[in-house]
Amino acid sequence: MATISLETIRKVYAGDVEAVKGVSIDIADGEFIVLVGPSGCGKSTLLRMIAGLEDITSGEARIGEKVVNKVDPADRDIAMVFQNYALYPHMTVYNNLAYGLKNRGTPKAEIERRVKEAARILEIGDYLDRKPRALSGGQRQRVAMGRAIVREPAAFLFDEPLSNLDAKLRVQMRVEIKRLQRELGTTSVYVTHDQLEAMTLADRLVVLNGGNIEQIGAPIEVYQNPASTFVASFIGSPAMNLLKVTAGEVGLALESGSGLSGPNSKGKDRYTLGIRPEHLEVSDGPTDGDGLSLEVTVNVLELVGAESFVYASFADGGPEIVLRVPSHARYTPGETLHLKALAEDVRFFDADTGKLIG
Amino acid sequence: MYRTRLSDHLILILGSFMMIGPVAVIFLTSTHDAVEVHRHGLMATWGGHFTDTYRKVLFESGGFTGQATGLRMLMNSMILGIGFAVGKIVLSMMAAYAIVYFRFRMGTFFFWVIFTTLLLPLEVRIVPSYEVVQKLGMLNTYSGMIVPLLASATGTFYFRQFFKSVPDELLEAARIDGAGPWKFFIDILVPISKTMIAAIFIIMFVYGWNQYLWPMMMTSDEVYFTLVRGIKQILLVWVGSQIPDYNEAFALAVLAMLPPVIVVVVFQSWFIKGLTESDK
Repeated sequence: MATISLETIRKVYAGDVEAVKGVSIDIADGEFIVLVGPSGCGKSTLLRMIAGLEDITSGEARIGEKVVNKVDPADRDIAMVFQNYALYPHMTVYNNLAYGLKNRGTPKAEIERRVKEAARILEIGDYLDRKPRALSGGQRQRVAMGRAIVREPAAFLFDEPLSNLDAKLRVQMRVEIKRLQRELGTTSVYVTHDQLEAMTLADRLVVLNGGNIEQIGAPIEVYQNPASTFVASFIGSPAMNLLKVTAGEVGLALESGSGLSGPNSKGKDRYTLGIRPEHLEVSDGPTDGDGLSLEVTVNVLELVGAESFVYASFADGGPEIVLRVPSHARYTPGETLHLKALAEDVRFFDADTGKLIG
Repeated sequence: MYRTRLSDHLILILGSFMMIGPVAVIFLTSTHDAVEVHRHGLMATWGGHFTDTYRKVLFESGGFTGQATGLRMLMNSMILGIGFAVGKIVLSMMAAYAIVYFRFRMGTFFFWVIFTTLLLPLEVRIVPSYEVVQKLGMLNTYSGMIVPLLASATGTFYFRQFFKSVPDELLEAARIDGAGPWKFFIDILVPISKTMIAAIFIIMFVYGWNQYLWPMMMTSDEVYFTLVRGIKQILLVWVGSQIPDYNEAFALAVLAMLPPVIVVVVFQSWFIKGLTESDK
């Protein structure tokens, strides 16, 4: 159990590639932090710096009260779960779990107790004598988690642990990781590129882009008020609709020329409008008021089960927009739709910096 | 699915016959007595002197000093073959470990230096090597026969390639689990290399077993005679009216062939295991 704090952490690789550009995060004891971002955003590098597998170019990393910049991974009191599990292929599951404890000189009886306990929690007790290759992907994943649990570390570090599992198992393990972390109350840092995993697991999300933090916040906060167009387009599936508009004399105009009416941003005449697909609603005709109102042509209807997504575009092209409709709704391609949205659901972003306005 | 046809079997049978035929002839010839072999050449029938010949070859002394019994030579060959194989594996594994897992100045350069020694076979450097061994006072010792040949570019290269294919996460997991460089090598790397080790063991054992020139240079004492040299020794009595003991030479040849065959048979199951099961 420990807090982790990072202070203006930078990582520069040989050849002046700056992978992480001065990141500061304070992680509370027992908190589940998810680092999320597209590939190459520096999230894995950051995690590996916490683990001690990469040197920290500058800045300070602390686990508990201790500055760990120069501390060996083994002495940082952390445990890591890898994407490809990294189980020792020649050892039985039991020995895989016990290896770290043996190296630390833990008494045999204590090792046995802890391994049995971890096996019970993860329901892998029946496989303790097997080798990793005789296990399925999900079972290997559990063993990898078990190896982290038996150590009873100050923090768990997860490096995209579910990426190698099939969709169904991924959902199952996701729930399990969450439950486990709650139960054990161990501080956790979890890296993923899957925004759904990030949303469901995190106490707090850290959205990274190009080595910088775009936003830190609770998942719902990040979802509702994305700090930038990057976060808006990264979190949520399908992503938030972003419309670059110019405020004219009669409402708003898209770059392509199509008009729409919508709430005005404070003082700016060029900005980006953001609206989530679920906040768009089909209406009978153009609506008045300070809400958003626009007219689009249906391109594709995508039925995903409980709901459908309608992909539509403006009369003269422009950006494609997505809206969520109930699955019983039927729209045919080519059909014209009037859409509306409440003013309070619309977000404004600066046209140049992409930052949230207001 | 491919169905095996008669012609496939014919080709395989023919192939095995070509391989086994000469060996069978050697074995059958060794069961005849020397005079008969001298008179009629190679034999394809059972001669009935099997126990006599082999007992004589294994337990009765030959050579000038009478210290070189077949058993002794068998043991010498074993020491040479196993010493070669084990020594080369240990050395080349450690060299490859250093090259792959440690950043040191000019590491790649050193690797290529080792690699280019492939271009310098033993025969090229045999005179200076002899000089070195002689100055170290290691002539007529087992270590003199084995140690100078232990550096192995082939082995180092194989292990380097293998280590490079081991996922980095395994090292990282081990580091987090508190394993230092030495522990990682012994606990993780060596066990997962075991199929690789088996493959190299086969190659190196046979190579060491079949050494002829080098042991002959290094040792003059008959106590250190190997089987391969022994065969030659028997045929050297071609002086005067004496008939060489062809049967004994053939018997020695059979004995000389057996251990490498056993090694290959024993290790091949590991070998195939290594090819079919991904153990990483």
